[in-house]
Amino acid sequence: MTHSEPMVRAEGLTRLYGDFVAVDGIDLSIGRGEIFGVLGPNGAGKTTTLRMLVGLLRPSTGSIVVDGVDMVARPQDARARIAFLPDTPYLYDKLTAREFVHFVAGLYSVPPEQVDRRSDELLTLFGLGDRADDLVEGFSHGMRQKVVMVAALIHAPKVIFLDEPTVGLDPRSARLLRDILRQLADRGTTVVLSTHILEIAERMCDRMVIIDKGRVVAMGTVAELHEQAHETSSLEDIFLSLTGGPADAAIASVLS
Amino acid sequence: MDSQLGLVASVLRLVRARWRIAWNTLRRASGWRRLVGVVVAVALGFLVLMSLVTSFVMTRVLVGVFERVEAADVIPVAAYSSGLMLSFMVSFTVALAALYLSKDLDLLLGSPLSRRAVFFSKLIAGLLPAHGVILALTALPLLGHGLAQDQDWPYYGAALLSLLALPILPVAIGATCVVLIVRYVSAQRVGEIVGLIVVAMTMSLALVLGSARQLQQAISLRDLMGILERFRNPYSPAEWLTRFLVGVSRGPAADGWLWFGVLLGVTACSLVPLWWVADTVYDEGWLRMQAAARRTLLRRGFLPWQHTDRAAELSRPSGLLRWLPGPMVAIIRKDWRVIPRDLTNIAGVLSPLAIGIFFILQQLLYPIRFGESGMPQGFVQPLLTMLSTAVATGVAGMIMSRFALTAFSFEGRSYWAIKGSPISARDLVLGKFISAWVPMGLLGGGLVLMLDLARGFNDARLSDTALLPALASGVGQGYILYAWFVVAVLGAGIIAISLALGAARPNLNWDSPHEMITPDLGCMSLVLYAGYAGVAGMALMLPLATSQFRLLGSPGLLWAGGLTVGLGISAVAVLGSLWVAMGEMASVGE
Repeated sequence: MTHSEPMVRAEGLTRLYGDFVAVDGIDLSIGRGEIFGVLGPNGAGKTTTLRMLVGLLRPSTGSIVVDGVDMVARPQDARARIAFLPDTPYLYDKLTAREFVHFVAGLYSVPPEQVDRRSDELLTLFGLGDRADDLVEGFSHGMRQKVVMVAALIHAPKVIFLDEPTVGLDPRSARLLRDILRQLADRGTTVVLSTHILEIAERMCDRMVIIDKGRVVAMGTVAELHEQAHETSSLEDIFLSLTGGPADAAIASVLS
Repeated sequence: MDSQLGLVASVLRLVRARWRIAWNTLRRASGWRRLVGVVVAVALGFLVLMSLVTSFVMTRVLVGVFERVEAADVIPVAAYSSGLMLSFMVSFTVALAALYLSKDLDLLLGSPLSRRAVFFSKLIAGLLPAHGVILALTALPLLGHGLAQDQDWPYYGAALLSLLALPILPVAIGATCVVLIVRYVSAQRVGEIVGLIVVAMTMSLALVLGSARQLQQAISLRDLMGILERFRNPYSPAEWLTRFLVGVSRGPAADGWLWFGVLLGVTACSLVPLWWVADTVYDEGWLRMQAAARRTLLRRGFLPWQHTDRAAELSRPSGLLRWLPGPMVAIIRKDWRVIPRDLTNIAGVLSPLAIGIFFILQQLLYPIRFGESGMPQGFVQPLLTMLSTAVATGVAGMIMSRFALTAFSFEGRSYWAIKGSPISARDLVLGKFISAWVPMGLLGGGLVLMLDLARGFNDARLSDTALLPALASGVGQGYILYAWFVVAVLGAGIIAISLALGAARPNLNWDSPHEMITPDLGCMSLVLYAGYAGVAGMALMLPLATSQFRLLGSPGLLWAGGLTVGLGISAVAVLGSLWVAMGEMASVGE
């Protein structure tokens, strides 16, 4: 793992929806081969940040550079280096799993021999080998997640962005995903994931950022977050102290 | 909760919530959408007024001509019959959408409200708007009929009562059928099949009406009376309601109330199964839809999109597409698989296709024969070619422009896969253009050929000559090629304009396919198609028409002028529209 070279760099990233500031001047620098977590309460701006980083949303202001390529100036070149797994795996119901993987490979202009080999390997690895020629419309949420994961890996991206990747996956698949992501990171692929599950973030991420109300409130390794929050207990306590959770008294008064 | 509130209170509460949602949506609609709403309302108002005036005049004429007041009773029968038929058709499709396909079902059926309360509230909220329009359309002929006969308040009271009773029977039957069918077949599949049935019915009606030669000729009042009399069936609820109306207004009133009682009795009988399915079977259909991970294999067939074993074609350009960039080919091949595999899309194709089939049949059975009026054959062929070209462009354009107009909306929530990929705006837009234009050219060319073959076949039949020579003379290869060329050129413009409109106003968050096109987009596209195809089509057809009639000077000059103008307008339309669409790509999906 080399974290020195930034693979993803965002400066002053801001996104406005009318008067509402969803993301407010975020600066990020994520190294090659790093697993980077994006944490935050609901509505903090995690998904908006990820969608800007992968080129699905244009930032209102700020810049994004992926592997040295400016996302705003050269979006196609930047997107060719990345893969994205959305939180809800919307797919074409009338395509089979294999067809979807080949479709994505076509969009990324992956060499045919690489597609043939990798699609079979990946579909089998994710347990979709015997369902690869079924229409996706009959797939469960977890199976759709796996199809998207296979499609994301088909073009060997340099950076993978995952929005809540383990939601809907069974324990075995969630473990498989974690192992794959760790191996990819060890081979130099950068992994950026947003999650609500602090245990996953703590166990998987080399570094993480905590976002609240569109702003970065803390960033670093778990040890660095402990320092920043002046907390010595769990990541959950750090998270709550930085983002502000309801006080015990407030909970008691609502429930009474 | 339900036990405390009672069924009626629960239903009312849910209906009120639904109306609040509708009101909020209307309040927050853009100015343009409100304007379209006003235009649609004015158009409906005009229709309603026309039906009022027509029924008034018809009543006076029928009574005057036949010199008996009973002659005009066909007016309420026809009004009630139309209302009942429309109500039944609407009830089935709307009940299907309201009871099974709405987004808040998980929330409502997971709440402590009884299934019956959810069922009836969804049914009422779903059906009220549609039935409001149907009842208004039924009420106006009755009003016109009453005014023409100087009826008093018993007539209008009975009319109001009959209108309130009219929709209950079709709603009960339609909703019961929906629940029973969805118990065994998924609601989405039923929706697709219903779409096909409705279109097939429309198609049959168009063919029957179109083929009925007597309707094309001057129709006498007695013929019309004969047609209207066919609505009078003693087993029809429309006849019962008419007898009620007539009995109350003209007497004997007891007879009228007896027939109203018959209707109420039958309606009550239809509510019994509805009450039962609301509490028992409704649940089963919904639970069936929740069953995840069912195995869905595509039926293998001879059609190209039925081959799931050719998945690799999506990732590698081959055949005629090998010269195109890989991402563009992926878009084209994906569309050529996904669109025909969805029955809902096929339903949309059938309606315009029916018009094409109708014209082919008409060429076969009742061909337009300019020759009969002594016109030389040299003049006839270009005129017939122009007709074929117009029909083929119209039919193929109607079908493919719909796909082009929804080319981006069709991607729906799956658009992230394209938006996040390195495909360029140029490749995406051109891919979408080719995926609609190639079928348009093939379909248009096929229709031109079929129309000319039908005419050739008919010539052979009528002139008693051998089939093949007659076909060859009827077809006229040079004219067919030119017609095909014109269809392809006009098609390119229509597809490009559709793409630009679709890119400017995409809706990726649709739940039902009809939400892909907003009414304002539909209106705008029609105006633009008509304007473009009218001007460019006339320019491209000018050489054909004038070269034979020699009206406007040298044929060579006219050919050059027509082609230059037609191709010029088309080039501007195609390039300009594609440029607009490419420009819109950055904001689509944000």
